[in-house]
Amino acid sequence: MIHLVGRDDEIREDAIEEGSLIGSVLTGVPGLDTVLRGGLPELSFNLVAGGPGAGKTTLAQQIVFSNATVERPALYFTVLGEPTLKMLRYQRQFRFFQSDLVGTAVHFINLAEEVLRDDLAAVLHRIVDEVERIGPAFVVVDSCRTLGLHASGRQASDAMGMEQFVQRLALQLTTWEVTSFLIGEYAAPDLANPLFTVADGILWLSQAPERNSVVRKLQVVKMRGRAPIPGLHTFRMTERGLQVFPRIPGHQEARRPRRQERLATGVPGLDAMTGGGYPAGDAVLITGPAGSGKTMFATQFLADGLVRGEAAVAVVFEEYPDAYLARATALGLDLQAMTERNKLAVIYLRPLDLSVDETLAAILEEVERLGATRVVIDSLSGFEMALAPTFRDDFRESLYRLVGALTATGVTVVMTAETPLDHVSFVTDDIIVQRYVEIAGELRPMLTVVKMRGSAHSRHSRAYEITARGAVVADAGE
Amino acid sequence: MLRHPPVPSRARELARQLLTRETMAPPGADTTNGADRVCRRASDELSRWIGNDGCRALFARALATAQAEGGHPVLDTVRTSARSVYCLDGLSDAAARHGAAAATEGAAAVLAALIELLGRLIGDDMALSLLEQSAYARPPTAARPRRGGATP
Repeated sequence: MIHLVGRDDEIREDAIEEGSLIGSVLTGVPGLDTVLRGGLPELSFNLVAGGPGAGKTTLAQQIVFSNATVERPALYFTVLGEPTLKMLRYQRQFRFFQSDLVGTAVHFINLAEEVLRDDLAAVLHRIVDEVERIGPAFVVVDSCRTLGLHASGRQASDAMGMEQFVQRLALQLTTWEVTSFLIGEYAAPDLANPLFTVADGILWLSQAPERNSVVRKLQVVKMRGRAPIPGLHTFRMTERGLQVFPRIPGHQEARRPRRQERLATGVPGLDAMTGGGYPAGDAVLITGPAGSGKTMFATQFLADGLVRGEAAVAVVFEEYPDAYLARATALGLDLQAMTERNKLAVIYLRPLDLSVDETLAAILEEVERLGATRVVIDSLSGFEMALAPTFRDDFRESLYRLVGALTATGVTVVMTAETPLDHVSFVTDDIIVQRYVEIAGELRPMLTVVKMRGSAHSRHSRAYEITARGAVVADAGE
Repeated sequence: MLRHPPVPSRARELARQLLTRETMAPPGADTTNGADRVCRRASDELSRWIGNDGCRALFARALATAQAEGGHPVLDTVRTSARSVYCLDGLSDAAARHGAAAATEGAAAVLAALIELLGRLIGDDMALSLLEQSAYARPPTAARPRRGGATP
């Protein structure tokens, strides 16, 4: 993580809340405006930095194509890095790239001749000349790193240096009421570069390799006039461009008040053991050995809600949605019909390089779309495996943030796990433990309600059966 | 021998349109070097977008393609220049020797090959759009109204 401290970090939060002093430019990059808490400050001079292949050009073009119009065009200056033709060739593959805007709303201009003359004054003059001529609302210089390398190789002491160039460029672009982006391949030691001081905003993109996986991350190192969500936010690049997954805060700022109600578990006999069902808004863990019926318990919880007209989301990691739905059908639960009626979403996540924030974004999107009240995560072991190694190493924290963010929305979450209790139990409100007990030479499944936070529950273990119609807890006549 | 696919008609059609537009200049205007002017303008516009080197590379490949097609002796003495900002050297002189009509035909072949090549690289829509724009004058200064309605 990169830290910049000092005056630049002081934020006029009152001004941001009122929103009256500085307007915003929405980036059009899913998730990024949330990280920035409302987009980029209008007319800001921003640096998009990071290593090769980090996604800098794609990010800039995504912002440009999202905002540029014929009336408020964008000027995209290319320098000496990737040849313009190749850049256009690759970038047009992204869905955000609109060929019909090229030349009308988005103008590409090559500065190679000026740069090759090692004359930053000529580069500045050309940029300003084009800005005056086109009158853009947005300007991108891709990349300024190349400019800096050429400037540093010059001999003439009286020529314009990089620092002066950057200052004059920022002044000119602001005067012309332009929101601008300078792109550069920079690393942490480059922070002394004058560009970092002059820039109003710095978006730092990185790729963190660990074992065989790579996780892309974005950090808003600095953003004058804004109080962005701190930390490293994972992002993914697809044919739609960048999608940023805002880092979930450890403690939710706005937690929905708990409903004072119970949700039926869907498992006959279990409601009585839990004191009337799972408390709404709780995180419930069902843990037990392989084949003990954890998935069945969770599925019956979903099905019960669906029967009552609620919507639900199932997040499966260990089997394909088709197989999951088929298994439910075998129990007499027609979950397939529920998906077709938009009452149930089955999310399958198994890429092995997920971040917890990406997982959460996928779940929350479906919860919001369906208005779901019940969520099942089956299983935590599969979830852990699906995460990139860097997040697996800190699975407790990842799960803590995921569960906290989900329950903050008011949904009731049922999770299954084979993992030892001490690994994840601290994030749950309620725990049901399944186990096998040998009785008269026969292994029989038993369950115990170990924990119901702030609620009375049965202290007894009870046998249960897996029948053709699902799990049923034996009546112990308690 | 490298064989080139037939030049698609859209590219040829646009090349012809650009040349026709140029030769339909007002009475009294110089129409003898219309082909040269069209190529020069395309060269200027493309250089602005992709730099002189990129533009020169495109014109060199397009010229080679047009020459390989055959039937355009006017192109035999035309070369791409590494020294000039303009990407085609000798078209104007060739027009004087072979006549304006032959020069127009040769230029059409080069432009069509250029558009087709550009289309393969960045897509037909963008290629056609770029070349079409080269036919027009540069955009007006500071078209965007400033905040407060004033234009500096």
